[in-house]
Amino acid sequence: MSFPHSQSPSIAARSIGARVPRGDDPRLLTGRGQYLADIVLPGELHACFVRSSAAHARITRVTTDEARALDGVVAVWTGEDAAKFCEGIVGELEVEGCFATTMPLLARDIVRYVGEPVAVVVAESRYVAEDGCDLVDVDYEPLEPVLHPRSALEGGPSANEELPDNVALRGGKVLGDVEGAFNDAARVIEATFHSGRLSAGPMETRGVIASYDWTSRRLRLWTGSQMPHYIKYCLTAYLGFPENECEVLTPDTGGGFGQKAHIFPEEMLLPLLARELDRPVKWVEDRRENLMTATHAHEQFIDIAYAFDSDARATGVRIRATGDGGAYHQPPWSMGVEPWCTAMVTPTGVYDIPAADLTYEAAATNKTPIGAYRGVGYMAGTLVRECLMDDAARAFKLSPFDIRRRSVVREFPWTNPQGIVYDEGSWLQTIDELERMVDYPAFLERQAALRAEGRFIGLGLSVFVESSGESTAMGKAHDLGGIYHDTATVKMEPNGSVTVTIGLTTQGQGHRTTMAQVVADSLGVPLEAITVRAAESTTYGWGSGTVGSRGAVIAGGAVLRASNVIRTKLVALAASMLEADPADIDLVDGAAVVLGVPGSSVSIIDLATAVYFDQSAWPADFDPTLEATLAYDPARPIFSNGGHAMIVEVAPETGFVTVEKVFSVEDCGTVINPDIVEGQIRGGVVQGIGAALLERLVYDDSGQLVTTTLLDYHMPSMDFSPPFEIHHLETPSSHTPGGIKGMGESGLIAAPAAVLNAVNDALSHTGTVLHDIPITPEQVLRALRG
Amino acid sequence: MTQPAEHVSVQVEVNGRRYQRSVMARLTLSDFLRDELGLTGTKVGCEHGVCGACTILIDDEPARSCLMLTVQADGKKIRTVESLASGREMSPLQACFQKHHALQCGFCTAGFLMSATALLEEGQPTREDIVETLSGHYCRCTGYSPIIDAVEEAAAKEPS
Amino acid sequence: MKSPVFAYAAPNTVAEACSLLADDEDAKLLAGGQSLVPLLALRLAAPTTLVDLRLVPALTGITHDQGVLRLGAMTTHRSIERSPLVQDVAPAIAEAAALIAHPQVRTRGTIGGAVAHADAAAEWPAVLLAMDGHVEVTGTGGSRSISAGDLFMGPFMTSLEPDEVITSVSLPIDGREIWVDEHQRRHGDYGLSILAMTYQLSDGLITDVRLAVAGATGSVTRAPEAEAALEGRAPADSNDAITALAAELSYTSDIHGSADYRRDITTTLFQRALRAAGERSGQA
Repeated sequence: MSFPHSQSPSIAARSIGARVPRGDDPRLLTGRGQYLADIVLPGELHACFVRSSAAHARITRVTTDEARALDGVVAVWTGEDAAKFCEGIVGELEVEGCFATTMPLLARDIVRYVGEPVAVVVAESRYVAEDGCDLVDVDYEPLEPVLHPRSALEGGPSANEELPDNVALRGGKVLGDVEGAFNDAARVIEATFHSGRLSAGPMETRGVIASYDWTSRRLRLWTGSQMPHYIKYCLTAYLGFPENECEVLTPDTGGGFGQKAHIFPEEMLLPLLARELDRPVKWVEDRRENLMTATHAHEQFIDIAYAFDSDARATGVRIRATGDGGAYHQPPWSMGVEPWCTAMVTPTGVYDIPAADLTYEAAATNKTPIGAYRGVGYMAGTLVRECLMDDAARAFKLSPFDIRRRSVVREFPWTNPQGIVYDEGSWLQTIDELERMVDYPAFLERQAALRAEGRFIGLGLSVFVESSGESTAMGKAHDLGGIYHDTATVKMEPNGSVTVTIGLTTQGQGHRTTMAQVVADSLGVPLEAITVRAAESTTYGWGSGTVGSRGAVIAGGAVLRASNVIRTKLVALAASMLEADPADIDLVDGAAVVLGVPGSSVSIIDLATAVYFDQSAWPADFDPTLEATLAYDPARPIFSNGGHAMIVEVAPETGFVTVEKVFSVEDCGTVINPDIVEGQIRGGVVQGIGAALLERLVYDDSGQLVTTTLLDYHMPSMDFSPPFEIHHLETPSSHTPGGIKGMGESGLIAAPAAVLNAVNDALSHTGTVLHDIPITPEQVLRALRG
Repeated sequence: MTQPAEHVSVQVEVNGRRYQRSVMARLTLSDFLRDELGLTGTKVGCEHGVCGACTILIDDEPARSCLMLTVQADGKKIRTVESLASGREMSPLQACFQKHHALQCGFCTAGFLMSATALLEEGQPTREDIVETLSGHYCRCTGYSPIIDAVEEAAAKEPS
Repeated sequence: MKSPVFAYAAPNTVAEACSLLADDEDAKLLAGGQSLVPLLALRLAAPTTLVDLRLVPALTGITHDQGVLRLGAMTTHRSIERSPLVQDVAPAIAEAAALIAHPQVRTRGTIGGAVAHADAAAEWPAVLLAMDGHVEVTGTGGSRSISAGDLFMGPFMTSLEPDEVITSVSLPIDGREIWVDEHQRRHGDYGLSILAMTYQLSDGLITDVRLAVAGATGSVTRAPEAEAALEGRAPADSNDAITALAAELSYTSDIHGSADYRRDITTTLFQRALRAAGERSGQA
């Protein structure tokens, strides 16, 4: 593919690479951030949902009279009311073997998971709306819940009659001589893994405010979404609101991590309520709803086997990844992306493995729909691959570094059996660097000494390659549908200040700072003169979503392309004013300078002023538009890589695992802002420690979710935070602005495997090897007690 | 005030300003601060006392404002995140948070700042004291270690 | 997650509080609210009247008199943890207070509230049982003292009458050794197992031992067989007691740990307590 919007201009890194403090911080630190719940519209009403208490049941009656009669209740809608306007939202993954489902806005006739919205009460306050919900009576006739994905795929009752055999997704490929690899193997290392059900758990829950003006047919929808342009598209596609009169606004957002990269029934229902009730309607999700209904993530059962030759080189892989998908596909990522990615993308990883037998499947179950969460598909895939690498190291009596070096790809570009081309990477260097950071011989010595005292420490390694900068090329490379491009607008004002608008929303990643750094280097203006708006409104630009570690690459590319248009004009004007060749002009430190001619310069402010107010300074044919909107979509898939090594200690009294230290190597090409990159690593790794040691959404045998509060769903707290040592490798991409690669998911992708491997190393004297996460203290204690 | 009633009168001092309001007895202090007084810097993250985002200072001690009814604060002095900067200057603690990149999305930050403020006012906390006190707060973005560093540096700057 | 409607009253005397409770069988007392307010938010509790004790004088404060440490019912965990008096006469009690949740909760939560709530995974009930503490209560019919052994009837259940208010908690300080410890997965979590033990040490032997367990069992409980097995033994000579403790209690299973696991880690808590007893015995 070659289109103009795939080409990114070059840029000289000046501000890029610096630890620039975030401009957002003073506002957020002083309580001035405006998150969804902080917005109050005049006359707003509050919605609260009646949610299913049954995993699978026929609704025989919904009684709303008492609720309607309550003072302060304005409306009560059930499934029938919502269905008059919208049958539901359709979800599927655009890959071979996926079967779509339609998720109603409010359940009709049948409920399919605990927490599914059944009715909505709209009232003058949230307190009264909750009182109203208590007065709605729903009668259920129980149906058999489908709770186990692998048995669900073998037959029995259906979780969702749209998928009678419970198959929501099934497919795969055999690549290369898999049979031969396994027949000739010196050893086969295999295991079955269970990767637990997680919640992304953003600190700010979901929420929506809808406001409609019938005179202009104008709909405004506030939602802390990672995909506001997609939501806007859905408002027209599903609800028929005229697209030109829809505006989706994204306030400050308290984390997303993929959970907020979906459309939800609530987001489609509130616009209808606002229109029909003729008043703004607000819904702020509470934490119980968030844990119960805001998409679950990552749960899979995975069978995986690697064939190794007598030199301990991996020669083939077989994988069957089964997702426990919940009752519906949650658009757009659906329950499919998790097992699909695990099976089709991750089993080869950084290793040169020529043969692969890959099977993915997702079962519909009577649980909350599975959606995206940071490292979707990659985390579980990296877990099983890297854990078996350590199992193989023990079997071959090699160090965890050596076993990986036997198979790691050393030459680029490299094409894996799936046909994906990796242009560059520091895959071997990552392993070497981690070994150096850990000081492996010293670790082994300390481990032995502590063991003699009855203390057990372990070292775990996990290396990864991560698809980043999610793009059309990335989708094509993976046989995944979808077109991605984003726009950015760069506008220079008469005083030389710059306003930048990007199509991506931000949930705390600091895009306003990193994008300002890109513009500063492109235009030579100081950071204080640049304001970045991160898709605060869909009125401006287009964005495909803050997903797939794409922010820096995609927004960066669009910003640089747009900025370069302004740059070209400034350079042309400066050349004219300074009587120099445009090729000799650079923009730096607030001025256009003639290279090699000291003292010959004009300030950017003067240039901007001349563009707006002084035609006499213009060169011939000068177009004074100092505003440009351009799109970007990289020509090729972009991959970053890295690894983590962790040292853990297990407590013989309790089986508790403590992470003593994390060593991280990250190669995301050119680093725009090391503080921000390191922040992404630490945050992701601690989420990974949570996934490995604490976090688990649990259903009981009747399909009730047991973990509906933070007292039961345990996220890492500060006492679970290890010290970090972070090392940057920089292998720039040749296809992105300045060589930037994305890295937002790397911490969570690879940390759980490092924890599991470290625990298994700590337990290596016991003969027990654990293959499930989260690792429970009980499993560890059992292992230690033999 | 011995006749049970669904509405109650409360008098509180918040960030040095006195307020008198009649509120629902069931109104939580976090909702009062946010919805009645417009002090939305205090965030509500879980409403059941676990995440710590809503932490404020009551008579100089940190407390979860979601775990208090407004009326329980009657007659008390409250401080929220809005009180920390003096004039147009962030407090040393706030400045250290920025310096150490101790916030990303910012939703949990007010709670951390208020607990840390109380801790710093009590004396010179050790790293262990910081972890012990701030383990009652969730942050999903930073991985915590920058927060520990920020508070530690602020403690070193604090005149004691 | 907003509380249902209730009527609220803040009486000025204990007697008034008792009569408010007597007037409404669905009334509930509010102390610090650290357990009750979340239950309201989750709508797992729906009292029609809340009777707030905050204006009743003389319900806070700590005194030590004639071998009894008396803690006003509205005394916060934080005050107990930081009380120089408690740290002086019974440092283990101050340390036990510091095990409760997080500082931001301890500043509001009260000992009286925690005892009346009788959560099976709370620290104070175990401490009271092991120390042979008492609560002083007042109802419409008068005042009485209830021993810890007679107070805790099961999870979230006490022998308090509906109109009775705990006014203070009394803990004997009589030279007996006190040990309180627990296994928390994360800082401030509910204990997976909590163990409180009091005993005399004389000539290296443990006597007059009282052992209470919470968190690991369905409700706070004594362990009489382990106590008997330990009586008159040296701390190192405790295998029978360890076996008894594992066998005699009914351990609970939930998502945070199975009964077997809780039994195992309760055993390790007991072993820690015995090691500490051994050290104390060595120092004596």
